[in-house]
Amino acid sequence: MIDLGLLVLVLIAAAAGGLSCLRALGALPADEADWLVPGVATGFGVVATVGLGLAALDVLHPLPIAFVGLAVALLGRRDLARAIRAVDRTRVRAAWPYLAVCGALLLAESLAMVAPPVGGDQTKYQLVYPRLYAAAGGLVPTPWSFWGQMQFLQNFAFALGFALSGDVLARFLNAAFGVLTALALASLARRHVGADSGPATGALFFTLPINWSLMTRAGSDIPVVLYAVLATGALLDWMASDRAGDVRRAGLLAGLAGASKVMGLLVAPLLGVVLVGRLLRRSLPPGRAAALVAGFGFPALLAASPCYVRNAIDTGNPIYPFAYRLFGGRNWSPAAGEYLADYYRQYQSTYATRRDGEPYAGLAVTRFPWDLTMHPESFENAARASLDVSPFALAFAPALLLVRRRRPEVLTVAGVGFAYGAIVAAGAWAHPRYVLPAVALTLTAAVPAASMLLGRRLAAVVVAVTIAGNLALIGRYLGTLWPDQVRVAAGRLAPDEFLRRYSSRYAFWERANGAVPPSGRVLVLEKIPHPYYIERPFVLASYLEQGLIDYRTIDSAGALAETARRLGVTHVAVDVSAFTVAGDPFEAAVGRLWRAFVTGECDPVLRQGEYGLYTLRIAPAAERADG
Amino acid sequence: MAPDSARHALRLVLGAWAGLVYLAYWLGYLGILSTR
Repeated sequence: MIDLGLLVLVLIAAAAGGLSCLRALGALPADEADWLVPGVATGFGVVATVGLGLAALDVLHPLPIAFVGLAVALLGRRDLARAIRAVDRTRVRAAWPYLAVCGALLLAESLAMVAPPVGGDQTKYQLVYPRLYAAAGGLVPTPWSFWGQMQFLQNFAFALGFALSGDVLARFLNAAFGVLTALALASLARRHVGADSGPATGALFFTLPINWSLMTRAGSDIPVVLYAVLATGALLDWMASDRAGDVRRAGLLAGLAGASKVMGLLVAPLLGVVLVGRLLRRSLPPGRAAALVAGFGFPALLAASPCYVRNAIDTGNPIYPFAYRLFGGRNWSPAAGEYLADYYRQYQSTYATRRDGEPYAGLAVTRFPWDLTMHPESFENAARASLDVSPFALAFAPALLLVRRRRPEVLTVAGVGFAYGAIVAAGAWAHPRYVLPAVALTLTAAVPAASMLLGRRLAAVVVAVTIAGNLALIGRYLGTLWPDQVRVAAGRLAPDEFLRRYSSRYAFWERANGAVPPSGRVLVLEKIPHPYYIERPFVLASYLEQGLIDYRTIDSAGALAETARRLGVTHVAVDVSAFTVAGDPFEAAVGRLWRAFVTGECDPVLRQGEYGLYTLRIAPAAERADG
Repeated sequence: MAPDSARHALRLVLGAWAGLVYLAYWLGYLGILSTR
């Protein structure tokens, strides 16, 4: 309940800050009824920048956060009051069936967020580093994992959540991005695609089974969708109104998409192409056209940059560890980059067998929309429902051919989505989460297309059936974790007991945390560590995700022990299954090295499942033999 | 072909595609049909 109250306070401060920011830029939407969603979304950018700033100054504590929040709320209070008063209540009432369904789903998701986080990337990096920053009151140097640099807009919002309260507030903030995204899609659909398609579009997206997993597991994919949708909407506003402020808002929001994730950097260039294309078709004076392009580009650059600047300062590479040959970067190497790329190729091959296929090469990528819809489980180690995007977009996207009303707007929405999806799928990684902005935009354009194809009544039935199908799949998916999450929320199951049931890592670290003194330092030997449950100072020593300890140059257990001692390591936690895996010669060599290191330089403390805890002997083995 | 009948044929094709996608999706989900 306290976390819910804190969430409301953060949302108020974010909305006030975001609206102030849009006003300062002269970029508020023309209609006050449309202020709230872009205001809060921009505000999350402000919140994250404040979070990063406070963390960089080592004052990431509740008092400074409250002070900044209060100042921002006071600054934007009038605009916020106007935005809230202007919300069209008639429109809200008319959408009640959709709101009721989505509200019930949100309630079910919220209960899941009250239980501690389990699984997914959130325990690997999305929540790990925000939690570290909050515990330390500032940025923590983490040269032992590149995931410490994969901290973007939402992660600094999560850091504020941890600093103010804990993981529940951080995950509520993650969910707030999801709710905003559904509202942004509904607004985009209403204003530019079809006046009555807003609620259906919002609900079709919000009930997607993949959205359940993204709402209940903190991550970076939903924020990219949010900002891509809002930026597209702002650009369409400009195309309809010719207000330069709409172009500036489009730039700012496209920049925030890039601030959320490296792939999100695509949004600004794509919308920039739409803007320039439009300008070329009109005979504007060159000065005015250049001013519009600059009005788009500068806010985009400014909004996107904070986390990349931080990475450049920390590592020398703004997109560390990617593009190493171009930017360089400390504690990394071309060999490390190639090994990581090999790992991802192998990962894609492994799961592609679930569709009897291989990773896409060349024109084979054209099969991706079908596989995405029919076999979402063939892209990751996940259940089908957790990545499901429903059949709606694939079924009705071709019917865009029939759309006559608002054709340029509908095709722009679909075109931006298609281009984003095509570039990501062909150039980066064809994966359901990574193309979610494309799915959302295609879905939005497909709603009026379905209506043209089937007629309004039958289309409404299909929308209802699709939403019911989405809910049915989520219902199946709920059978595993959710009942116990509800028990935790109701106070009938202790969070520790919940974690013991669902996380073997927690079961180990619960005991290991007790066995390592607070002054100790643990070296973690695991290929893909999920360090969320570690409560003692630690150093990750994966051979995949870091280059600080370079296994290409360390060739003996003694050398590894000496490196560990230099890092102040007192204890060693090891995934013992790594001793015998041998997916490739390098991996096999590291496995042998770890085994020799643990048996020759360490003493056992405890064993839990596949994990063991050891103490690192203080003196090198050779010295002990001499003595 | 007259424009009207061409449009009608296009609607039939698009409708059949949408139906096929929904059918394949649900039959695949229920394990009745392999869509591999």
